[in-house]
Amino acid sequence: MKTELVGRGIVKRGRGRSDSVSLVGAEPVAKATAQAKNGRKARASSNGTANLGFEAKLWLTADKLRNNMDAAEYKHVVLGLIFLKYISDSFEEQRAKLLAGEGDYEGANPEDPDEYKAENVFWVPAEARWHQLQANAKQPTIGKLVDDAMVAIERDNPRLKGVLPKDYARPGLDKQRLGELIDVIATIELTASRESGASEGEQTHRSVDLLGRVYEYFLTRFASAEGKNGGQFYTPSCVVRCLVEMLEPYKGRIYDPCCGSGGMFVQSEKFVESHGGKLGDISIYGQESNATTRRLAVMNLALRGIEADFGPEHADSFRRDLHPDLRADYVLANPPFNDSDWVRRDDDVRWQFGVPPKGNANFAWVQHFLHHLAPQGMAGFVLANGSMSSNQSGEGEIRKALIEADLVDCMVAMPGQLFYSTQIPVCLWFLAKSKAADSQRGFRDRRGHTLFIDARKLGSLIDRVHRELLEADLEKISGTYHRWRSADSVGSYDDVPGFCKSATIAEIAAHGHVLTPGRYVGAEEVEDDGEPFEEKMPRLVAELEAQFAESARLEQAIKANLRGLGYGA
Amino acid sequence: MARDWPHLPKLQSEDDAFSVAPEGWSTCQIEHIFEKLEIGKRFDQKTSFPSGKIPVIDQSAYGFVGYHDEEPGVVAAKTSPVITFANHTCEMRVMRRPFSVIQNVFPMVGRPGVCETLFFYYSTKGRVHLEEYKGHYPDFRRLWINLPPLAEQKAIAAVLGALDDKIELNRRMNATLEAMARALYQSWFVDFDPVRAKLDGREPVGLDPATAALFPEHFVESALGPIPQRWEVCSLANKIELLSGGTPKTSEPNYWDGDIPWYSVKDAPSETDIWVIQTEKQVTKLGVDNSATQVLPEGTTIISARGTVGRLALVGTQMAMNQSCYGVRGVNAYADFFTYFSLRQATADLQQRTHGTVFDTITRQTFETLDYIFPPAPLMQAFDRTVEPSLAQMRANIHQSHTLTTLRDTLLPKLLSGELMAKDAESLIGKVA
Repeated sequence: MKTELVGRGIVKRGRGRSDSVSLVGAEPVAKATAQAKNGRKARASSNGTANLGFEAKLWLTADKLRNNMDAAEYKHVVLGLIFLKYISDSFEEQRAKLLAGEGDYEGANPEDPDEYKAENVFWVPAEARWHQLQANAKQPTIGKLVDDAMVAIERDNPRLKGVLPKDYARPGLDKQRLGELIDVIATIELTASRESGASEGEQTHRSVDLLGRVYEYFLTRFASAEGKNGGQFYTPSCVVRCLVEMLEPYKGRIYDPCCGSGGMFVQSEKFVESHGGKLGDISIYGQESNATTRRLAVMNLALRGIEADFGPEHADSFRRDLHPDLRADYVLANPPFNDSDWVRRDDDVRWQFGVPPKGNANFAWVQHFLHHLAPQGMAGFVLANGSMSSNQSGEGEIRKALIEADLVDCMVAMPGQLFYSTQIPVCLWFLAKSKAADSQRGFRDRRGHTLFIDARKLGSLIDRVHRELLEADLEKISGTYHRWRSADSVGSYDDVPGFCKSATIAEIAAHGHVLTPGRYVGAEEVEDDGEPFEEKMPRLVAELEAQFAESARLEQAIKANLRGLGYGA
Repeated sequence: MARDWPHLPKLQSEDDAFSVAPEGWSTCQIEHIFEKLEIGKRFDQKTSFPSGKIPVIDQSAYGFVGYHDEEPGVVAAKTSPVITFANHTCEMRVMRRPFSVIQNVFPMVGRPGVCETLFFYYSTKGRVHLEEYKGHYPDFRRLWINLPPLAEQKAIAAVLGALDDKIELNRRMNATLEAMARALYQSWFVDFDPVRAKLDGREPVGLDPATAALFPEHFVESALGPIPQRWEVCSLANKIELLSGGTPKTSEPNYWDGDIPWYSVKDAPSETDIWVIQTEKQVTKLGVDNSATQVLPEGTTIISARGTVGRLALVGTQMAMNQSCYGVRGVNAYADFFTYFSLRQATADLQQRTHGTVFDTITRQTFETLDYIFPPAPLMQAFDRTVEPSLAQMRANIHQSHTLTTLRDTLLPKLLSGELMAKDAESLIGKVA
């Protein structure tokens, strides 16, 4: 995506942006691409989080203004403003086109909301436009002005109803800092420089890309600034990417019944785009039980022009399934870890493999996912490691039933320290409704077989407590899975001791239906020192002889020394 | 085994210096008597390699972060050692071979003609303590010490140095002995060298006829590939019993500070020492009786089972242990040392089979899932008999090193204060060396 942008010469040097990014004017495509690649590599090795330098700078500035406010609270303040800036900017871009009135827009009326909706651009009423707010940023009434802007936008755009934060006027929010924050966000330069000659479509692209990135970066940073929250953790992007790269959701229905701020969907879209697909090849269904988190998700996807069905409101997937008839092609999810406080109906149609225990929702989630899978559907999700081996409260029985139904396609043990606010080690489950050969997707017949990958040794520490899977790690994991399931014999799969193993249902049964990859992949082959026994022993014996002699000499020296001090004979 | 020696008071000023220093001694701040060395090219974890000619030291007390093959940053030799001080960790080391450093490690020598390098080491080591995370070098430079005449310095360094040399030698000797025992285990039970020799019609190397007779001449197929005839493949759990540990109530003083060592994974010996003979904490008989722990007999192998999985220790003197470990004893003539080395062999596999939500854990069940190749009992016993003298020597070395450490730590403050004069010893050392 970025490469593309750079290649087309649209991203140019702007105020406040770091030079670490290749922001080019009109350089040849090939060179620009190479630069972009280098840039990414350099960043990946320095802090691993593939981000623009300017996002980090922006974060530092914004975080300074946070002062004593909780990260959890401040998150909504900042992300709401970024969203406001985004829709205002994309509105202005569209408006500029309408005003110019060229080509398709000849005779268009820039004040007609339909002209915007037709282009999937939100209509922004005059009082909610960014320059209006920024002009008043220093006024004590700025809080109320922002609230009014949010209300006005929601009023004119039913899709955003109830989504935008509207409590900027609250007394607890320092108005001077709010004004400064607005100035900071204003520095995210969007409007394409008119003289660069970039075409209209590309301008939109760039807005989406930059603000989307800032939004995502801020979400991540807030996740690391926030504390723990009932087993719910922001899914680090390398974990999401791993799920996506494994499943390869080129097209179809994608479902995440505990979608948080929508990270799975954003990555899926990125995946589709980077593989030459287009927005709209996949349709997105989500559900989220936390009202404020759901709002973040709606904004997150709206920012990228992605249509998503989050159901009419926030709701708990167990209490009230908002997509009861959905049969998804792909489920991608990171449900709360070991949730002990969930609502169970004992006769729920979803409990096909056994009633999950009240004290742990892991297998309730698993069965919920399965319930919503289409006949060829696949699910990839994150669970706490306990799910692979626990035998408490019937969980072992459920796992056994899943294995015997031949649903488990692949298990991946992840390295520790991947998450921001918890050290909990996690695994990835990949379930397939059907493991029969699938010529359309190029899958071989893998019935009765499960692939185990032990990725615990992969990844690099990005600081003292956080680890990240880099490009090569993701490639190693997903490549192994793809070779294993591929019908194509080229570059075929082999077991690698200590890393991966294709096991049969019988082997899994022999291990008591425990799915911990380490059990199957065995130990890494230890490099023999290559020294034959016949040679090694004489060498060691000679060393020992010398050491005995040295020992005798030292003993004499010590005895003599002690005598010198007046001790010993 | 070296720890901070705890004996010297922290001298803040001249007034704190030892009140009775012998005649001819002076008191000085050390910044006047050492020379900081140039460090050459500075390396770090990323720029050094797993192997090479020149080691790179970091701020830790032992070991190297890596190696390189370029020019060494600092030249040191057996006869001209270099001391390093680590700015943040306060660790000090003596280097006797060329090396390089990472940042915040400062190499230094005593000022020629004024201060003997090794004496400098003994009179400063452990004197600056790790406080908060900051540079401690300024504190270090301003330490006050008693400075005897050069000849006395050399004598003191020789006395203490001989003790440290022997401790270090014991460590290396144990490494050699351990390598020999492990090579034998590998040859007999993993590579099946004697069986292969017999199969080829050769005489097995280095075996007395009685032991050689215990090995079969043929292989048979098994679930784990070809194995020597009459050997068996079975689960590790069938050959061992697991003993569990526990923690006496910590609020009950009568349970603690007794004479029974109480092992936790912190006490695990280095792989090349094998034996554990002392622990940081001790419990009383009463504490053992009133908790889940039991007293493990000598020769029991302890394996850590939670958190850090697979650290091994061979019990060198009766001791109890905490609940994060299992004691492993062979059943039915399954010999002690054989048990230790086969667990060593199994460790990587056990570590692979860990599970647990928060900590890596192995349980009794983990041992059941592990199939191994076992020789008949007489061969295991033959192995134990063969390595017994080596292992006994290793244990004796560890005991001796403890004694030497205590001796060094007892002598050190006496020598540095001049209470005990080492000068007389010097001539004797000369004669021996």
